[in-house]
Amino acid sequence: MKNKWLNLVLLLTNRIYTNKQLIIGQTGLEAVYNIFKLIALETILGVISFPLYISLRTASVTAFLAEKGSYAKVDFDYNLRRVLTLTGVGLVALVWATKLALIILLPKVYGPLPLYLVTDFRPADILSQQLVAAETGIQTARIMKSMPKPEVTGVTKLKGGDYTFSGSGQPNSTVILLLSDKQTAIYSGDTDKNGKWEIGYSQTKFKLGPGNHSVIVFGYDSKLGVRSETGLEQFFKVQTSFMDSLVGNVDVLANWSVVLIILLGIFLTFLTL
Amino acid sequence: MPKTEKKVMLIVEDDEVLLRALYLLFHKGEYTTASATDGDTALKMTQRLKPNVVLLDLLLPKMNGFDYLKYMKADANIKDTPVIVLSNLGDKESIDKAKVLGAIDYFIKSDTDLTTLDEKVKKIIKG
Repeated sequence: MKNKWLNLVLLLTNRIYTNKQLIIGQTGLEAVYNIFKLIALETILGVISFPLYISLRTASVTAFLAEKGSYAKVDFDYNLRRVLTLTGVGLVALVWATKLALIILLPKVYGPLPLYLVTDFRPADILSQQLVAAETGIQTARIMKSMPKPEVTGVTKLKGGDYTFSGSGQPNSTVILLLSDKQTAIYSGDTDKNGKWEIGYSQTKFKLGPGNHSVIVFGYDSKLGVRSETGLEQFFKVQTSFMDSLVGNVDVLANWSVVLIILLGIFLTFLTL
Repeated sequence: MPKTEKKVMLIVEDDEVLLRALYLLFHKGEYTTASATDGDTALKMTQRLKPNVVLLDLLLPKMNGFDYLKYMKADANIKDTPVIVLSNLGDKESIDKAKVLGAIDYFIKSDTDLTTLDEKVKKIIKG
């Protein structure tokens, strides 16, 4: 059995040598095909020969030295020729083994993934009748040119990624603020007796993606069903933390990591040519 | 430290995987197995260890197997060391050249059964 395994190792090393000789004289698609074949052979050899790496360690052997007439230690060293390839193979194997373990074990530990549980079907809070009526009223309001336009004078970032928008307008009136992202969120607030207003925005209710966003405001009178023209559009930038972007793109990063590992494997295999 | 002189086999192979495989095959305690990964070191080790048999690859860094055979046969102290070639080169020219230079046997890697090679080495070492 052991000899059959070692014969297979011998055969694979010979196939790899033959393949390398072929590649030297080739160009174009033929060479690309043989490079991939070479990578496959190196990978198979890396896996098959793995026990050789864990069972045999660099050691010293004792040998009889003629000139001394006695025994002495002789260095028994290996050239680390395929360690790089083996490392590449090991990394790929580790990534896939981890993925496989997660796929198998996670549902056992946490139950079926919530992704497939569609039991809690109910309209979102934002679609409550009052809100729909209010939004409809805002959207269908007539523009009254004589109505003073409110202005945004400040955008303040708070801890936790929340924002406060502030500005001025007609005293004791309603100010409508439109916050744009992929969808537009509508906020309303009232001005005080000095005409100052402040509207808070919370990431937990409406999460803004990273990048530039615009905010516009106008005055609104729900009794008359009229609104002012929009004030000057203001822009602000939302920046996500490194951890947020890492967690948010974990799937993309995982897939790219596999691509990078494969590219690394190809590069390392070239080094062994 | 052993009291009696143990027979020594020198494996000359630059492919680490194959070197490990050959070491595993031959390292059974019957004889000491030493290794070299290039022709130059192999020649120095042959002069120093005076092995009972050398298993030689031909395509080696620093000094190829043919040159190793040439220098070894030119050295009176080691010229009688039996050398078995185990190589990827399977053309008749290489086989003839190695035999002319003094190799007692020639195994092509693609056609070799390691059991046969093991028996051959044992036969030489016992003989």
